[in-house]
Order: sequence, then structure tokens, then C-alpha cells
Amino acid sequence: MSHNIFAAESSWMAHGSALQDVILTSRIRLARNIRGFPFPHRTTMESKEALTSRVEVLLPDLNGSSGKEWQLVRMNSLKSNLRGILLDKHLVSPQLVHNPDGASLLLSSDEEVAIMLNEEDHLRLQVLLPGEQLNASWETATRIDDILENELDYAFASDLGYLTACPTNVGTGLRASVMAHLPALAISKKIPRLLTAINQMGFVVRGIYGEGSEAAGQVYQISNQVSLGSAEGEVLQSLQAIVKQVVDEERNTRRSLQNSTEQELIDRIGRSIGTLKNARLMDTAEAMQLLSDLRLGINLQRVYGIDCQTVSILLVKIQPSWLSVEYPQENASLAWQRAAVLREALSQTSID
Amino acid sequence: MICQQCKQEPATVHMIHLNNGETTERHLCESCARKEGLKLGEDLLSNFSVNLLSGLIAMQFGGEQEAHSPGDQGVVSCPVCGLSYQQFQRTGRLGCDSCYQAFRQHLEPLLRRVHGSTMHRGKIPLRSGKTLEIHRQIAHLREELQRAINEERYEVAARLRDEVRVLESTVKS
Repeated sequence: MSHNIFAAESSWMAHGSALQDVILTSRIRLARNIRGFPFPHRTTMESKEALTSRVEVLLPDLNGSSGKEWQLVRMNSLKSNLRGILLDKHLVSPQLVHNPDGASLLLSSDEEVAIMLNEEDHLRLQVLLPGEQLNASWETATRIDDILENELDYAFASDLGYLTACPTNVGTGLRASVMAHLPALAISKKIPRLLTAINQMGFVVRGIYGEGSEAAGQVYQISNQVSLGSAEGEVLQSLQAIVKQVVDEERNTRRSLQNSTEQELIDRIGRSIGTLKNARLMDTAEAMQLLSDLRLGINLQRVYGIDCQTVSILLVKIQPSWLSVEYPQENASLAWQRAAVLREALSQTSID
Repeated sequence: MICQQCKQEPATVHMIHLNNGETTERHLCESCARKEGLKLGEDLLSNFSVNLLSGLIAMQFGGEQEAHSPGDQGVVSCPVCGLSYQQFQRTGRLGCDSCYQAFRQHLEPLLRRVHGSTMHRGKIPLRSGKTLEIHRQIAHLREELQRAINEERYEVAARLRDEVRVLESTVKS
């Protein structure tokens, strides 16, 4: 049974998980390679296809033992805007979109588990869950990893751990990360201080969309840098400790903004909603900023008629990929279509 | 060095682009690089991390690799996939799992610098991990066996030999 993997909605957008007013998602990524095969950047199309087929024959097995349904998508069979939707839904990496030849995506029907084949490593296993669910993400990831390892000979050395194409991933092959929405810290210009503090703990912060310290949409990714020398559990514990602090800081800053400059804050959110409800031409960057204000308003319980899940879906729908797939025939510009999508989604939205 | 783009600010971002064997260098100031970055998107970001890594790798060996021409004893290549250490220095990517063994001496200081460690302490794969453990046991038993033979303790040696055989058969099946 296959589902529409190009729908703007995905399971990680669901609402109701822990700390979700700040932490949008938790992600576990494991890098794995097959013993004796050259890494993808040094191999032929035939060899990439051999690996893909080898994983493809495991599908029935995987369906049975994982309790999930899976589908394999060859990236070069997709038009670039369809690949772009998968990227905007955080199911594949930019590399898979830009170098689709020989690369595939193995996706569970709930979209919680996405395994990229022939990316930088032979396998990149990702689990993406809403809110702060690092432990649950890890448990799913390691379970699926075990099922795969039962059939595949992983490249592993007892001293260096899982061997990866880039030595920065060797060891656990683990990248644990959260996506955090930090509008209050951004408004009060506290982000640079936070970056320094988090860097000192061996973790990295970067914008999800765009780069520089002023991330578009004020969504930041916090992830571990080091993969050799620490056990997975230790990495998760450190990240959870950082998450707790970041959440506290963001919540406190939201409260103090409400106390000290409540009128300015509500005015800002109200103007953003006004623009979203009425603009006729909207570019992506502006839309992301306005949606960030909208999400803040929802979390402060001052905005009605829309929820955070809808905001997450809109973050996919305002991107060029989704718009160009959804409105292929239209003569109107993307900026015009984007504004129309937003107006319709916010038709019931109001601020108190 | 002055930024190639605006020709005003000092160039602080240095990009080396490898495309089909052709190398292009660009030297930009931060704000021009950021403008470029918007166009190149994630490509630039990933190139940055590669360049940082190759910078680290190059720093380790200083001018050492320039002192050798290809064919010198100083040039190391992976016997399995043929990747040379210089290629790794340029791209920051290894060619296959055997490269770790081939470049072991060179990689260790790099791993220590990047990770602060050279010893994996995390998960061990269930199936191949078990095999690894058995191989380790076999190696250990063989050493004991040799010692027993040298010391003419033949009864012990016979027992050890049988243990090795049993373990070897489990690995083969």
C-alpha cells in the first residue's frame, strides 16, 4: 500500500508532543556502509544499483519485522520539484536532490523512518518525530538498524566503530538533532550568546532555512558534532540537557517580552497576520518570517482559528517546489500563488 | 587579499571549486560570500565543511606531501579502492572501508583532533559484532595454543585446538 509521499503534510507535523511550543522535531540519523563496497562517491552506477537491489529484496522482510509498510523511490525517476518537496518535508538531504543518479529513498508509510541509499554513505537512516522525542527516535532507529544489519554486512571496526565516507561521522555514525523555534530569543538578540554556549558543549547550531545567525523563520537545528568516543546514550543525554535549557530560555524570554513590551509584541503578530491574510505577492523569505510570528502568536494563545500543525504544513506549501507541482499550468507567478495559498489557510484566523 | 567581487573588503572566504577535474578559486569578503551562498544554497555549506576538513588534514602534514612526488615512498594509497591519501586530503572523503586501515597512521591524529578520541564506545552491530568477538577469541586461543605447544603441555594444547575448531565452525556457518 503506498501513500502520497508528495502531500505537504507529514507525521512529524502532528501536534501534542512534549515541549512542542519550542521544539518542533527530534531527529536521529545513522550513517552505515556495506563492507567491501566502495563508498558512493567512488563507485559506478552499476554498483549503486546493485546496492539498491540488495536493499529492495529486503522490503518484504522489513514490512514484516518493522511493523511498518515501506516503499522504495528512485530519486532520478522524480522530477526535480518532486524531489524538492521531499527535501522541504525534511525526508531527504540536499545532496540527494542535487545528485539524484543512483540514489534512492526507502520510506516508511508513516514517514517516520526515511533511509537514503547512496547518499554520502551507502545508507543514511533517519527517524523524525514531532516534539522532544529523542529517546523514542533513537529506539526506532536502532531497531530498524538491527533489522537491516541482520541481512547486510556493515563496515565496522572494533576500534573505530561504523566506518563512514567522511571521518567526521565515523564511530557511532550518529547525528542527533532537534529543530527549535526560537522567535523570542531572536527578537531579543540572544541567539549569538546561545550559539557560543552550545558550541562549548560540542554541539552545533545552524539555521534550517538559509544561513547566518539570523535564520529564516527563526528555526534552528541543534546537533552533535562528535561521533567517536561517546556512546549514543551519552550524546542523547547531553542534547536533552541542552534542549531543556534552550526551552527554558525561550519560554522565559517569551514571558518577559509579554511583560515588558506586550503591546509591541501583539502589534507585531497582528501586523504579520494582517499581511498573511491580505497580501497578493509574497516571497518565500517574507512568508517564513510572518509564519514564525504566527506560530509564536498561537503558542502565546493569542491567535485563534489556526493551529501549529497547519503552520508546519504551510512551511512546505510556500516553497517553490510544492507551488510549482500544485499549480503547473498557471500563468501567475509563484509569489502570487503563494499569497493565495496563505490567504486561504488563514481565512478563519484572528487575534485577540 | 581583496574580495574579487566588490574589490573593497578584505577577502576572508576562500573557495576552491572542483568540477570535472577543473579547479576554480574564489576569494570573497563575508558579505559577498553570503550573497553567493544564497545562490549556491546548501552546496556552499557542504563545500565549506569539506574545505574546513581538508584544511585540518593539510595542517597536520604541513608541506610534507609537497616534498614527495607521485611514486615516492611517502605516497600512500588504499590497496583495495586505489584512493591516494592526497585525494582524501583534497576531498575529505575516503574511498572505501579499507581506507581506514590503509591510512591508519595518518588518520589517527586527525580523528583525535576532530573527535577528541580514537576509540569507539558506542553500539556494536549484533551479528557482525558477534563474529568480531569470536575472531578476537580465536586469536586469543591460538596464542595460548602456541604457548602450550612450546611448553610441551600437549593435553592442554589438544583441548585448545578443539575449542578453536568449534569457534571457527560457528563463524563459518
